[in-house]
Amino acid sequence: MMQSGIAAPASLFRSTVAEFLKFYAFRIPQIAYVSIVAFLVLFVFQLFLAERLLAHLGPATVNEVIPYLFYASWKSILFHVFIIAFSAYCVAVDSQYGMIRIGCTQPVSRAQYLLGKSIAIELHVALFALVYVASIFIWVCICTEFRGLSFPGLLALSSLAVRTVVFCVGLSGCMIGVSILRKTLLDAFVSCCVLFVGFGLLLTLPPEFHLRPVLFLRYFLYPIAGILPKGWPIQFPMKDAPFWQFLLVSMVTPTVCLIPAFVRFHFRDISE
Amino acid sequence: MLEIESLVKRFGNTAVVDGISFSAGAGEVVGFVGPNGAGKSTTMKVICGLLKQNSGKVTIDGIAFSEDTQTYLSKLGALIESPAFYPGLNGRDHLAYLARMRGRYMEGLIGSTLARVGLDTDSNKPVKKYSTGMKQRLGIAMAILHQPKVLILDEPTNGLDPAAIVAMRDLLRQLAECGTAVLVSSHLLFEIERVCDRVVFIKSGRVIRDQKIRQDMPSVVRMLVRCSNPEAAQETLGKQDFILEIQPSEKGLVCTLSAQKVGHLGFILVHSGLEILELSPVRGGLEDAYVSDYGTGMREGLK
Repeated sequence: MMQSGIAAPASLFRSTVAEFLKFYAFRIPQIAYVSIVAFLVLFVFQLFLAERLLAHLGPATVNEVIPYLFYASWKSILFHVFIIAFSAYCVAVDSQYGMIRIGCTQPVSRAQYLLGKSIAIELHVALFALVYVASIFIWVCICTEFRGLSFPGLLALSSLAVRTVVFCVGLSGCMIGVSILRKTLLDAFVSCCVLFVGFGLLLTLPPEFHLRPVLFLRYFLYPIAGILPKGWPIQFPMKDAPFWQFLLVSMVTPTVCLIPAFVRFHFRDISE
Repeated sequence: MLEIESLVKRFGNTAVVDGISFSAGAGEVVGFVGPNGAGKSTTMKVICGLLKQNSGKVTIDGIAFSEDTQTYLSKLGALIESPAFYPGLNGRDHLAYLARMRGRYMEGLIGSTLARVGLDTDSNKPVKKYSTGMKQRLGIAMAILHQPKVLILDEPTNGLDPAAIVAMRDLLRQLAECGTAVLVSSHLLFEIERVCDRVVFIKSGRVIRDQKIRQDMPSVVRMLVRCSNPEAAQETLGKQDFILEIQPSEKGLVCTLSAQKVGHLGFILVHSGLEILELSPVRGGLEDAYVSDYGTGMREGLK
């Protein structure tokens, strides 16, 4: 599938924009933004009202409290399940309803069609992650009455946001790769869940296994490390790994999932 | 415009499309006819690049899909099999998505296309609330939005009511008048006969007939004449210059004559004092051709 050098980026841009705005037409992002804020309310009630976290911590600053709310909501993996479901849905919906026939007869190559879709989904996931971190920040600010808000504190918050976005986009990329190989929504969602569980099972590899630093889910709590206060009682694996290592693993893992999916999609017959 | 040469598509060892060649010129509406499983949809999917052919060539304006995908697909509009939609999106959203994909996001174009297929008033309803006919019309709107040079329509009249079928016929003729090459498959032979310039018959993945319609069909008709005295009728009609052929049959006399002289045939019989028991056109055209080509096989298949 040859294209001129100028036409190819333009086609990719068009494909990305069309896919990105299409998901807004689905109203999924709008509902997700509201849902993320609402979902955090549950943890806010639990931590600040039921467990009286601030009474235990004393006069804690915003940045000292954020890790508690982030940790409580993050480890519930509800947000991750949403990302998995969103990625699987957005890819497999085309095959499920036959829209893949329409998409593949538009003037873009199959690679551009898939790449545009993947970028659009990951942009949405990045926005979800930012909304998630922003919601945590706002809730904590409200509960702590903006105590100790400072510029270094905001920098640490930015670090948390960037790491969260990188992790979520990486996770989404893996799920997109798996979903491209499936033809129905149910198949895609089940396959994504199996992959996620598979990633989790890799964590049980023995310590002698020297590839442990490249296991994506070992970085599950890496985002929080950028904002952890001193004396945090729990130790996380890979907490002190350099950011480039985390970034590399978060990029390579989805790439490994995406490349075979792209190759297969390029050569396969669109029969659905 | 659209050229198909020796196209072969195999699924495993089975050649579903087995060396098909035909073309559709600018402004030409070509019917694509064949029984179920003949290879119509497969051929159309190969034209659209959805399936990859094993051999042969498909070109639009001399450009093959593999040579310049973007240019090839920018000239093509298609409605393949049943129309596909996102149930939660409305009609306008679907067209907006495609317009953005093609880089021609123009609200006017979307509105006029929806109006062209009669969906302008329902464009803001979710597609899941559309009737079958409305979905079909939206599928056609999605295929013609960018004013393609080649339009591929697979069973476009499925689910349409009679008024919508007439509108569809007019739309296809309009598109053809604007220079679009249209390839349309349908089992409604009457519709094919009325809208197409040419019909390509395929069977078991091969073209078995490529027949012009508009030029050939209307000039000569066959009429069944049943009179009280067939011998006298045959003698009378045999003397008329405008009767090209008379064939006695079980039902009566089958006369082949110029289409303009059908009224004159009745006039001659009445003035000869013959009592006319029946004067009707003999079934002809595509339906005859179809039955002669596929009839036996279909009946065997049904058994």
